[in-house]
Amino acid sequence: MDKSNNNELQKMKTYKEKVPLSKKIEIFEEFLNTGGEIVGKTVYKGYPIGMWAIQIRRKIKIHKMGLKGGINPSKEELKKLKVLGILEKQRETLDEKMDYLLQWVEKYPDVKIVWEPSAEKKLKGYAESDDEYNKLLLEYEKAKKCYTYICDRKSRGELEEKYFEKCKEAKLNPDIFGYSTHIEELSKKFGLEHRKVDYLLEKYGSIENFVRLYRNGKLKDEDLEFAKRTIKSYIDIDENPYSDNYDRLIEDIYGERQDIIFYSSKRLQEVIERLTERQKFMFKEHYGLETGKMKMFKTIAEEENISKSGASYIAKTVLEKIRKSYRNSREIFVLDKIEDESDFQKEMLEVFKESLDKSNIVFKTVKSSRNDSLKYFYSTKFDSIRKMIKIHNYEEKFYEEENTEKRNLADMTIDQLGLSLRARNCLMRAGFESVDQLASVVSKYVEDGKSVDDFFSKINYCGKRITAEIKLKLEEIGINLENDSGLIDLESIRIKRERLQGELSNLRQREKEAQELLNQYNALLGDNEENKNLNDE
Amino acid sequence: MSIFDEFEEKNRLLKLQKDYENGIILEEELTKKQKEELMNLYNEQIRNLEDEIARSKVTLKMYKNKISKKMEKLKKNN
Repeated sequence: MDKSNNNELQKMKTYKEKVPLSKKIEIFEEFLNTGGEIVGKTVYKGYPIGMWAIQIRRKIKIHKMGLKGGINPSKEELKKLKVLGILEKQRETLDEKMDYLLQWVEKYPDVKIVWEPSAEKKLKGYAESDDEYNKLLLEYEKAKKCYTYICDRKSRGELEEKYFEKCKEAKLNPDIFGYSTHIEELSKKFGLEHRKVDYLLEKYGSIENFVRLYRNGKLKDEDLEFAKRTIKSYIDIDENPYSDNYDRLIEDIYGERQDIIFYSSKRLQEVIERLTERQKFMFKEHYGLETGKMKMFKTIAEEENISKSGASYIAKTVLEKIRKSYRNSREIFVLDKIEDESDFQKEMLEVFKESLDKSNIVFKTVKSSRNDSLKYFYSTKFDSIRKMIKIHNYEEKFYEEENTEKRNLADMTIDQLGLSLRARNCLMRAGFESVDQLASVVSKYVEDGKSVDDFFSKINYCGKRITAEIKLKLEEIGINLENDSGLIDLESIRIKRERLQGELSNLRQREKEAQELLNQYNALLGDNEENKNLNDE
Repeated sequence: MSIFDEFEEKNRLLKLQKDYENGIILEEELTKKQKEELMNLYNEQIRNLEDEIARSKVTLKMYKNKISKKMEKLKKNN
């Protein structure tokens, strides 16, 4: 600040003379003729005219409200004050402040508006001469003021949404204004912190680029560690660095029959989390889900000092667990022929489109034995589908039309029926694993005209008591096997009798034929006695 | 119930069954009692038929055994 200004301030402090309003107006006129602007702290010839202007405005307000301590200027004085523009606040509007601030941030992105000790050094780099540097400093202080004003307004809850979003986009201060919507979306998708996403976007342009670089092994030390820590938990075949390992795992789960599988990673992770620590370790080591290197059971066993068969047994039990969890699920569906787009695929695509905004990760596998061109075709096709899908509840939507009761049945295993151990073992030994399977086999049996009891009597160790128990349990769920067979229906009973009649007539005809054949043989052998005996019988 | 009454009752039921099978009487027109009676009749007939089928199956098996024995004898003679 200048020396003259300081003297004026000292004068102002010692100033005790009361100045009448008419004289104040004259001083205002004098000052404004010099071309200056009246702000709160402006001092002219030792008079605090900035303070005066504020006081005049306040006192007129107080008088209008009918309180004590106000002043009532005459009409001429009021006119003069209006002309001079002292009755109105001479401040910049919020828009102007915002524009000024945003322009500053755009111009000097390195210099942070929030207090920073190295800001002055950075500004020196921008300025060529001392004058320019002083100017920049003044501009910087002004921008800071604008920033503090906006922050105050935000803390009071008076900042409108459009200004708030402007600040958000300009990344003024993420702690106060938050991050942009794009960054928020990405952080949700990848499960990363906002800061990290912001860092990655600044450095690599997009997260896909970052992942691509990681997969090609072109990242440096710090970023490589960061990638290892963050990306490996994100199980998506396109973006996971160990996609090949997951490919192998999926093949082991489903077998090699399927070409392409849509697969929910969420469920896989749930299953893995449910395992014991030893199982987890063995499983992850074998498939290389964390390190990327698949290991033979032999090497794992040597490292852990256990037998090879023990290691393979643990991994196999885990696989079985995972297979079981997928056995009756609707989460998987397979596309065999992508080339000819069937109605099924079209429907699926529509469902994908509907559930575009949902965010569950689904990943794909392509059978490795296929030739490269086909693989490329599949992958490109799926990339286009992938763009459309961010699937969350696609399977629920897809099977919405189906009967919910049937769906429950399909999910239900024999264990869940709550049978006694003996009855459960009977069914399991006979090869029934789900209720749906049992019901379908029994209904087919009954359609052939045989009774339900007949069916159960053919199962080993399944007596009357066990059949009754199974029937009862099924009825509790809502499956009446005898009803399904239609035995109670009069018409179906009639059909059954006719069928039996037909069968009997067939048998009798065959009896006749057999008798004739036997007679012929007897004639050939000349053995008539036996024939007589047989006829007697 | 005397034997004659039983015979008459059975005749009546058989007639009802014939009418039902020929479409003269529909299922909806039958009373509950008639339905039950018909059901019992059908079940009885089915039981009898099943018995007969079982018997004929046994005789067929017997024939089969005999024929196979004869065939063996013929082969030996030849």
